[in-house]
Amino acid sequence: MKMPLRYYQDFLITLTQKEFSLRYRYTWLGFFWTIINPVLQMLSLGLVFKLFARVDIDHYFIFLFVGLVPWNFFSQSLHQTTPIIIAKRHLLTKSNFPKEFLPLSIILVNLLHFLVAMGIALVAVVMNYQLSWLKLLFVLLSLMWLVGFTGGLSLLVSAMTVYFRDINFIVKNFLPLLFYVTPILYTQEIAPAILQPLFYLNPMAGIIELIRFGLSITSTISLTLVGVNLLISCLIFVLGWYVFAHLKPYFVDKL
Amino acid sequence: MSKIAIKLSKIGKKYQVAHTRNGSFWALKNVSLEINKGDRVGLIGPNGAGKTTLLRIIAGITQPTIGIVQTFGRAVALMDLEAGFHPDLTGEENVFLNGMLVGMNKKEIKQKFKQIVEFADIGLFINAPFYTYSSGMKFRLAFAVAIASECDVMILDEIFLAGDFEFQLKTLEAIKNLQKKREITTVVCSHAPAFIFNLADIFWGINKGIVASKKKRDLLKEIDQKHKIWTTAFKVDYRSIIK
Repeated sequence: MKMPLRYYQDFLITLTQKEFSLRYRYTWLGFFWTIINPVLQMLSLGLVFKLFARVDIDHYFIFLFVGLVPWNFFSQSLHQTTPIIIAKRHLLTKSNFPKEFLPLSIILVNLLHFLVAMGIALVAVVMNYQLSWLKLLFVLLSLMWLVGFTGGLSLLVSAMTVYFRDINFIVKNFLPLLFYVTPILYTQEIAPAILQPLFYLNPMAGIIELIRFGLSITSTISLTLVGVNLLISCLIFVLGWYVFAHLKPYFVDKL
Repeated sequence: MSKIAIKLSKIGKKYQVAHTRNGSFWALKNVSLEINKGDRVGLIGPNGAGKTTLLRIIAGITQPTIGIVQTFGRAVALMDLEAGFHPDLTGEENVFLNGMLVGMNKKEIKQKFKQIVEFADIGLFINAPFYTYSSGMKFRLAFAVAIASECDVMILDEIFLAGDFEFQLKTLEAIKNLQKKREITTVVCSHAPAFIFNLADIFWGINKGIVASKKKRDLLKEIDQKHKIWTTAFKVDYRSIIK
């Protein structure tokens, strides 16, 4: 049965609110964990690479933080959305609602956390770099790109996990590996040649490069990298919605 | 002329036994039926006959493998006590989640919240997480939301018995009230004669995926026979004990 748009809006907002309130239920620090987490990550990784690997990048901790925040959004979203249809089976057996809302509400909750952490990163960037207003448009563009890509990929993997439960394990095992072949600890420019082809297949490379370029942390960017990554992202986005829409009528029977 | 509420045309549903490679069966075979607006339908059949599958298809929760389903208006299903609730959310939060799943918007739920809580009558548990609820409380909350949802079609699968005697009477009255006042269409499935005969006057028997219309007289005969077996099996002559 067709429902008014208002109903769908309410539904997505309610699901997001519930997801948000569930995340920090019965915790002391609650929302603060969203800041503590990337800061600790930045400190531990930063110290290791500054002291042992001796990377030569100015304001390395800020550089790192700006890369970690979008990566965490991406990786946590995927972690949480991959098994979401199976985890929420008790909702699917009640009525026929837009099941896309299950992964999308997780993305929205993570987006909120992401924006808070990004705000903190921005303060640190403003104090240490000379920003350009025009370049900030690239940041806005890359944020939309990040959300679109993460959303599309989440739809794809969450739908496929219902059929092939191994995907859940594949995602969880490959994300930490992917972290090191994404220009987070370093830039694409200084990365060894052997990694370069991998960057072209990994849209997170282009996204993080573009964010850093937009925030004037780096002064160069490879347009081919951004172009190829953007194309792959668009393909995954369309594929994600398509696959999800085609598989969702059969979810209930496969749980 | 009565309007059609539910129309099934040559429905079949094939299931793969979950997570096995070979083991598929047809839960429903070639089912065609029409239910008019305001009809009170009772569905009878043994476990594994296909009752739940049929109700799930009518509710739109699952799709038939072949055939066409048409349901007109808002259908609400009460089939599984945990369905549509989140175990970690409180009763109050769950009213909103469940209310949306059965098609109400936020404003509607806010307006009816007091009425829902009053009907469920679960006291302080409305603020406790759902996983702490007993089956009876789960049923009370699920039923209270369903009753408030202003649905056109109500689908009820054997869950009445989770409520205590008083609440069972209350649910019976509430459904009969909706049938009379708002002329909602009901499809009820129960092994308890009191519910079937109070809530339905059109009967469908279902066995091994095949649905056939049943006469009330034949059904009563069957139940009478089962009742005899049941009472002799228990051999409790409670009247003489009371005396």
